[in-house]
Amino acid sequence: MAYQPQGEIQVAAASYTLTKEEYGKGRLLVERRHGSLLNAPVFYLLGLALFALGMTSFFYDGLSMVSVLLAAVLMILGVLTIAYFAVVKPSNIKGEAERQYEGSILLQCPKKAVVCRDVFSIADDYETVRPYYSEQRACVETKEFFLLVADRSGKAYLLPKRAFGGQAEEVSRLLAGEFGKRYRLVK
Amino acid sequence: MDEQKNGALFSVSFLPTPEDYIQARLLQTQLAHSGPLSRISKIIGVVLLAGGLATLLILAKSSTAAFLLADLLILAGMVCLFLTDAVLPMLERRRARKSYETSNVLKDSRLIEIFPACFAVKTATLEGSYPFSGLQQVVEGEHLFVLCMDENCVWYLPKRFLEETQMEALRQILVKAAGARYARVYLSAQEKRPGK
Repeated sequence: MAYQPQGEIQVAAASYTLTKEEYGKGRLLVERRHGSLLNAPVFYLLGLALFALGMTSFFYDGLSMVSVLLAAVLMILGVLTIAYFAVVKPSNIKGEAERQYEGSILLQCPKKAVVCRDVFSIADDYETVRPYYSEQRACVETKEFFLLVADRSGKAYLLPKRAFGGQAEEVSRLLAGEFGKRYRLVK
Repeated sequence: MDEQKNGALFSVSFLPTPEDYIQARLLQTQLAHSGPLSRISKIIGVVLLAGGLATLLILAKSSTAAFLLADLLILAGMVCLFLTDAVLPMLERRRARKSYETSNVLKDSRLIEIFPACFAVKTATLEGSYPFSGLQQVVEGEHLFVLCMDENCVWYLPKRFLEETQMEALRQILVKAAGARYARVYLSAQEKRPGK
């Protein structure tokens, strides 16, 4: 009998095809937690600070035309900063993700995922990936999917819970155990 | 894939350096921001700069608030003017360096084989074969080719590992397969351009 390491014995398997919505949600989650939106709260505070500074600037020069202009510029900058990171950028990310999905043969093709104790694999018509959990940056679990984030470049693997059916809880326990502090449950 | 039966045209095995990865990210960013965003930000930058200078010259002599306003407008104008040429590339370079330093996957050595209709990639954790027709974007820079299947699957091939004939063969395959999705991007004015 061929030797198989304990960590590579199959725990769960699933076949699925990613949907555009799933990919868009996953992309946005990766960017919020590990990518370009990671520092968004800092920019919200900066925007609020600029807005507050603008409010106080009204009275800087005794409500003159210049102080009103200065206040207006600061307040507009504050509002634009908050609006960009709260609305514009997430909308751009989701839109870009949808465009990428529509043009990608990889994202639209059916996949087979196998989850083992130390490693997982995802195979489709074009590629087979087999990374170890220990090499991934984080695991995020939502109501709809497991998202294994490879690194800060944004590379991630999305495993829809619907594909695992009754095994989803087992996969959840396994990933929570393997990732430890790197595991997050998002409600 | 069936296309691999004919044998590889050539293959390259290399260990990617941080600079390779950063260059690849910069090329993609430059291409993404070279269109309307660049023009709009430059126009806004010029307007803000002009407004700031006008405020400084006309109003700032009599009021500190005007001086502050002029500074703010000039600063905002400079940021907008150099947004796509300097600010965004600087941020992207920093982000790419951090991504490379904290990633195991990006440091994996890789074998890339070029076939007439597809290219195959092997790393420690991945084995894939991708048709050229499926490429969403191809970017050629001064030092490397960037092949994008999608934002999650991007491969780059440094030119220093290729001979001239191999580079030309690959360029012809990519131009033919990608068509309008192929782009030559120049990151600096020092890079040689055709016809100059």
